[in-house]
Amino acid sequence: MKYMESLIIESTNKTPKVFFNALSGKMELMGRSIPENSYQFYEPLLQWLDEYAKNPQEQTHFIFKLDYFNTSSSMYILGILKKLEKMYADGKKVRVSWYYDSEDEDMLQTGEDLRQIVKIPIEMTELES
Amino acid sequence: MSIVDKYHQIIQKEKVLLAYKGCIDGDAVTYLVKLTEKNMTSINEKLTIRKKVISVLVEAIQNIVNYFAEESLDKFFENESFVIVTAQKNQYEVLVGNYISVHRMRTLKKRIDNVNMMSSEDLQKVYLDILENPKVSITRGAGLGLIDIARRTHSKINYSFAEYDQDHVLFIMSMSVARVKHIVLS
Repeated sequence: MKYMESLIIESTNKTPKVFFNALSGKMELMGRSIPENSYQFYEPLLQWLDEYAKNPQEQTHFIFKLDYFNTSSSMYILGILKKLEKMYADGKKVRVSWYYDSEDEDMLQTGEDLRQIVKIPIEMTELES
Repeated sequence: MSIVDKYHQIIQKEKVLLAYKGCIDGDAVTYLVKLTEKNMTSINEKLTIRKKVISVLVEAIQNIVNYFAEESLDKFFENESFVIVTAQKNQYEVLVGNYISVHRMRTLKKRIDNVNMMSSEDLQKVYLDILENPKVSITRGAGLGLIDIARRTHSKINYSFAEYDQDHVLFIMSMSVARVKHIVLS
């Protein structure tokens, strides 16, 4: 059986670290996301997820550990959640963890907002600052 | 008074944390964010406030980057953009300015007035609507960036337009971020 390749992208001043492991089903997005052109950065991630969704692992765990992001990124973050929501609706096991700094009310609020939009359980996890 | 004294006095009096004038492109955004972060860290600002200021700054200056990418104005105008961040006792002020076309002024004014009239509940609702359906931003008359700024700062967006010539105006927008935690009164 042919396995798909993992997607690993190092962080930059404006884009987060991407660590999408196709073999373990664990995916992480970490750091800041403030690119001017969010489409250019996020489109390959969404395409990878489409491919992964065709034959996902027993359990998929998506971890968001973002410092901050601009509004154009937020649309794509929602796009990622929509793809996970679809997998979840198809009966796959999907977990989403949303990390926020204990003092960061805005990041907590954003997690809560996204939780209202997508029908998928999102665990809010506090990071000690 | 010498010019050095004059500028030093302004910097001191206005508590300037960062001031920049010139073209604001993607590279400039990187530097401006880095320097603002660095300067807030050196005055021991709390992480949560630093993040708020950076978020507001990013939305405001990327608006300028996007504007000049969409509408081609003479290079002169592009080089006249500016950003000033001040650290006052109780709040940070983020002030940005750039030239825009008169045509743009009308839509922008409508958008900001619209956002300024919304209660925090309205802002929350419209934010979620637009996030879910980006096309809503056209019909609701506001972009996500301005709404996000208003949500984060819990305050009105101040703005002004100064006429330059018959086709162009200087647009200045200022936003404040409280240095103490916002308390929601119910």
